[in-house]
Amino acid sequence: MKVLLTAGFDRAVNVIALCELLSRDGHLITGLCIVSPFRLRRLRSLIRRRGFRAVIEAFKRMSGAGNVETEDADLIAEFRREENLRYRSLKSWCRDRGVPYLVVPGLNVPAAIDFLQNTEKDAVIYGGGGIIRKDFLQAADHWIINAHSGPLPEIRGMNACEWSVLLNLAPAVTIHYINEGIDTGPVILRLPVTVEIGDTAKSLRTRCVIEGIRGIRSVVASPGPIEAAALEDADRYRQCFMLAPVLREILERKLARLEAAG
Amino acid sequence: METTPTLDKYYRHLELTVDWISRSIDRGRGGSCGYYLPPMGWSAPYPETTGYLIPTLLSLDPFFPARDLPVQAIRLGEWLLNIQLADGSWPGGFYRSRKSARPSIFNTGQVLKGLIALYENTGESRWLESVGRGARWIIAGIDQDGLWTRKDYRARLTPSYYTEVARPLLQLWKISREDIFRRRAQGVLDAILARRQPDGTFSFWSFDERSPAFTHTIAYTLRGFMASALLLEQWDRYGKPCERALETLWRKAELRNGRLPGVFTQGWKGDYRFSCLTGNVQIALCLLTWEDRERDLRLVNGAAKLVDFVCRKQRLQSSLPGVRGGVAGSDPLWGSYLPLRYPNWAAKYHCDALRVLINRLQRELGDND
Repeated sequence: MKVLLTAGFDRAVNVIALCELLSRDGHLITGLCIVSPFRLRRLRSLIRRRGFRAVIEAFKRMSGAGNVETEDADLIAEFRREENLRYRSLKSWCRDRGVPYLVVPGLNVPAAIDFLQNTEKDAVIYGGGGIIRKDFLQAADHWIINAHSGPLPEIRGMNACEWSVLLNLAPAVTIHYINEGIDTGPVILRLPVTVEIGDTAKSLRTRCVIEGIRGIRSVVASPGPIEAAALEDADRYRQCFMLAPVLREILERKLARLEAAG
Repeated sequence: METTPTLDKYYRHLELTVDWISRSIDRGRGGSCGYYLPPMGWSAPYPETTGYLIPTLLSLDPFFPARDLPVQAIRLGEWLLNIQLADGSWPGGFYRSRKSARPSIFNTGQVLKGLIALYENTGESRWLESVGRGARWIIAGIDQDGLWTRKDYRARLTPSYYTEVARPLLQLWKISREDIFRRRAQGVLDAILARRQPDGTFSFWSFDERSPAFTHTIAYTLRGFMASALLLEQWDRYGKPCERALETLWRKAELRNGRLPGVFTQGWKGDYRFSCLTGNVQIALCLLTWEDRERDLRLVNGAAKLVDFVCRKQRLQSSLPGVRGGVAGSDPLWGSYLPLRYPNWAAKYHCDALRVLINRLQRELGDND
């Protein structure tokens, strides 16, 4: 299968893993659309919405420094070891493989849409880059696959695995097509994710990301057309947004209690 | 009791805001000063907000049992009894003397909330007698159209936030079982309900029919409906029509990390040059009231962000007694809603929102046991 991927930043672990693993499976990566996060407008918007601390956190995460001291570092390292992933930058992976890539300020800019239209592909895999608008969707013929870290249609939006735990739903990764709504597209596959003793919000999220990579890999590997079930009443479920600090703390308590209860 | 760092922070903000309210009462010549304006100092007492500070003080007694908040509440109530006008009403604006006092329907309604809370708290008939006279004066002014057109401070129409006048009438009906109060209150609610637009907004929910609505008066309108719906046990009739507006406000609060615009024009177009901090916490209260029915933590998340924003703007340290622990009218301070001032109703709603949020979060922590 010929696949084009999007990424939210150059060091996105999920997209690096997908590029390497899908190539190993015999699929052809025909292009990469990488969003550059360091833009004045984006920074301004981030500061306004979430404050300076969020900018520092985002910088750490995107530059790769964030994984060094966080509790999900072990999980990432283990996954990289298990799958023998060598690369840490999408650009260098593309350069080494001769895969064309484009760095854009956002996925909805004309350059990204042109790149998408002019690249041969059977499917587009969304690995990040912000909300996709109608033009990008049309350019991809609506064949954009996404791994969402929560059960759909119940948990739509951000911090999905965290919200699953807070709302007492079994955490799951949903592989689905992207449509005009927020996580309202047809569902291809739903994979359960177990909350393990010792899990924190970060480690749980990382395990969801890893499960998402495995899910997309299995979907792309399946023979024949990829079938999906439409979500009739997805809009009925309220969208999830980033957790307020106090709810993140309550989530951590909830996970810690799970550990205490054994 | 189990807590978290942010919950501890909420307790600290609550405590310092209560300190601020106590200072406004100490300087209030019997009532609570309407606002603090540096460097001018404290304003004259404001009967309307003194009235609705009373239920706030009473509800905070379990949080601060050593502070004698019910005693403060009773003193405020006694001051309100003393300044009640002969016709049963209370004056609008700041209180300077009986001679300059002009009756106000909205302000009388807000005073009633305080006196009803005192009656419920103490069981003393003096509060209820006074409430009865005030409520009768309010309903005597109601026109054929169910409102107070040409009889209040706005010449041509009754603003939609007068749903908050219907609410104390219903509270009184619940106590006295005099059906006239229910019928008149429902007449008010129905007349305002007819102003609902398809996008969930209500016409004339601002102070002035030509101006956009502050989030402060938007929240009054919605909360008046919601509280009335709960008192009447008629959510579908009076609560449900607010849900579209609440959903919109919740989304906007989430998308802006708790910073709502100060005003909305028609079609939910916001003016983000400033935020009305009172409105912010009032909307948080509306979301928490709704959540009590919906049982959806996502709404609590939005409310927490609204409260967090106001906490971030609150100065916990200042040599100025009216700034320390106070909540400004606007952010930035020179924004269009009460520029440079620290109103006592901003402090009141901040306390109310913090209290309800803390209780809800404590319950969530407890549920996890």
